[in-house]
Amino acid sequence: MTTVIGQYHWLPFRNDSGEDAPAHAVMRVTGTAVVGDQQVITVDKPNATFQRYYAINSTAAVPDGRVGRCTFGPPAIVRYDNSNTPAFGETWGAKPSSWDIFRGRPGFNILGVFTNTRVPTINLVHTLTYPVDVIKCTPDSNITAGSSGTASIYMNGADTTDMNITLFNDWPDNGQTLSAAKETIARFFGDESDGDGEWHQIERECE
Amino acid sequence: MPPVAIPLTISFPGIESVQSVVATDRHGITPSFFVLNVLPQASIPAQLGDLAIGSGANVRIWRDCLVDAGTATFDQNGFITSLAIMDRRWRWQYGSVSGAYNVRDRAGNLISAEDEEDDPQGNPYVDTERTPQALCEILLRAMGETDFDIDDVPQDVRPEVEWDRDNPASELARLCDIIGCGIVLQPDNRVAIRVLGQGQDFPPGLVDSDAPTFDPPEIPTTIEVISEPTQYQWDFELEAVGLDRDESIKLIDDLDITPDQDADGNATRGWIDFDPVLGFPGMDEDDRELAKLSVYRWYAIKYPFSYPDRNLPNAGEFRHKEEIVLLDRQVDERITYNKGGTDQKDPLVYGVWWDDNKGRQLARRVGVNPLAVTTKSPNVVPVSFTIEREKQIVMFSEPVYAFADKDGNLEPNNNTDADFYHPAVLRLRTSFYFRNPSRAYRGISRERATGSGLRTQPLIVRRRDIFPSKWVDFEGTTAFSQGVLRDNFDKIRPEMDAFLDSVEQSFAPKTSGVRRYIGIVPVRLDGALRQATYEMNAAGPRTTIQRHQDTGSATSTPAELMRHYERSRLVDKLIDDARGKQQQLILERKAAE
Repeated sequence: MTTVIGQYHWLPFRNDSGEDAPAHAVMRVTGTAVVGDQQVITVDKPNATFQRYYAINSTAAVPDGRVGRCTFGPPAIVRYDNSNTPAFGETWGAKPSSWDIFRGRPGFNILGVFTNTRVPTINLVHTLTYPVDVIKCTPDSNITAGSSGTASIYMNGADTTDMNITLFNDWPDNGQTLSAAKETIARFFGDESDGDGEWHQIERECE
Repeated sequence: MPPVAIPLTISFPGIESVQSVVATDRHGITPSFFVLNVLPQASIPAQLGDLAIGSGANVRIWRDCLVDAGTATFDQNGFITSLAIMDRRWRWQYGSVSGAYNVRDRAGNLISAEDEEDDPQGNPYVDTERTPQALCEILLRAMGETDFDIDDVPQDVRPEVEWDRDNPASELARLCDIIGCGIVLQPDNRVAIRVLGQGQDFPPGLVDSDAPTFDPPEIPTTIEVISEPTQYQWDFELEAVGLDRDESIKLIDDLDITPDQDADGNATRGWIDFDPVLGFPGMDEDDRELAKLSVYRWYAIKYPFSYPDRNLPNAGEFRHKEEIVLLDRQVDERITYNKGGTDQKDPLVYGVWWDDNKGRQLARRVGVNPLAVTTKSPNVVPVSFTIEREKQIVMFSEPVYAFADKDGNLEPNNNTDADFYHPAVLRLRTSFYFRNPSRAYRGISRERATGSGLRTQPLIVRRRDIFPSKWVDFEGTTAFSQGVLRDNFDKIRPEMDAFLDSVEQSFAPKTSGVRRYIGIVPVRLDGALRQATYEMNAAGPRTTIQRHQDTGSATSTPAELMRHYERSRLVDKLIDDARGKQQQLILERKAAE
């Protein structure tokens, strides 16, 4: 069966991670830059700051500081953590300090394992990416009404502390503080405040 | 000379009194001409009719003759009207014929019914094979002939012909030249094709004069038939090259443009740091343009290489590109789409390369294994390319590369990532001509000693329709060194030998000459008796017969062609002289008036 690797819409990027970005790596976008006469996006290794979408490297490793090709999907072939085997319908996602995606995280719908004939020990999976707009999280500390704070994203059915968002507790706050560790549904809004896009709690566990 | 007692016959419709006649019957497609000098008469002769010339019972009739021209001449005999009459071959200047027969494919194989099979689209295979006899029949019928004798036409050759609304008589003359035959209009009004050199001796009769000529053939000591150059097929190993700043072509790691730092001055590790698909962003801009043009797109043939033919110099090891002429076709054949034939396959490139569409790169041992490489094999590169034959470079339309680890290992151990750009490991399957240091090509030849004592250099005859080829059969092998060399020599040697036969036969000694007879001696022209001239005038009837000589019919050997050419020039000069004199007479007469 023919895959669509050659038919992706590729974007040039510069690897600013300080190390080689391996083939099919999941990468965090940090901005843009001009290399020679070419506008590129800049990427780094995923960290604790959750992004709604990640770039995926092409079939070639990209040395630090060099330019390569990446895609945002939706179809994409991505490296995965082989402590679990991806199955159709699951969602996987980025993890700080790793080029792989991990089970139970948001951002990548699993289609099926991709048979890697070139280097069989590198695990690849067919995915459909999606921009994450709704997540479950818990504030790391109390967030008073009308303010914001750090919240940890639920991963693999449990609260984790390795990936965070900045969560706003404002217009549906009913004047109440959002307490730490309370399960909260957050939604991303692109038109809030100064237009820079924000996560707002839209439902919460009872206080 | 006393007056001839036997009655003479000269008749043509509408002509009342013939004073003299000269009739020349000869080989070929141009009509025999008869010049009749007749006394002035009131009526105009018919334009078409049968011409009868003879004495006693020996009357020859030419059917369907045409009056070509008439002139009135005044001389010491008074007014004489000359009529030029042509035999019925005047009709042969008309008509057309189309067809392509005995067509060869690029490998020189006759496209015939022998290996008949429909092409993959189900179109019927076209059998183009025709014997020379069959070709003669096609042409004669196109000329309007219905009754002819072609039994003598040789059958052992298959001359390739291509006619496109061509004149059939001209094509018949050309064909007869090729097969060594002559065209004869016989006394029974039938057209016959006769083998030149074969035929009757001079006929019996009252000989007036005899002029035998002694023209022994210059038989060479040996005759050598040479084929077209041998076409060798090979799977050439390729290596990645690029275009440098001084426009020289080098291995990509030897290029001055090989980046050891990027445009910002940061150190790099060379080509693996730059993406060829994106056009090497980050390189120096001028160098980048050269890299985009050539790096990972150009692959050159790697030298030296060994061809498994121990008959080649250096036991088949080629060290320089000047030793071969690269071709852009394989020896292998395929059925041609919708044409009912075969041609040679296009070259192909295969090996270890990254297939971006399939997300796959075959293991090295699979990718460059010569076994079972066909156009459908997964290791064949589907990227279009051209072969720059002079430079011996394959030029792809887009980058072709493989992935390897940082050390260039295409098959690193499984704990190592191998996703850095690296030149693909490729082979080019195509063919080549070998040429020796004097730049002569190597074909095959067949030589025959004639037994001649003249101690000459060989007579070299080149056949441009014989294509020898050699290829390496990798079936059942797993390494290039195990291939078995094969060729088509057994198939083409018999054809070369048959051609040697015909060349040798053309040197057979012949008794030639011109014999003049008193009276009309009917003669049936053939391959030996080439021309007969009948004259009837006040001196009486005469017949002149030329054996193994003629003046204007088909010729068969280069020597005969030259003789014919020289004679034609002489005849043209005589005609020009006669016209000049006639013009002078007219001018003088006008001046006198």
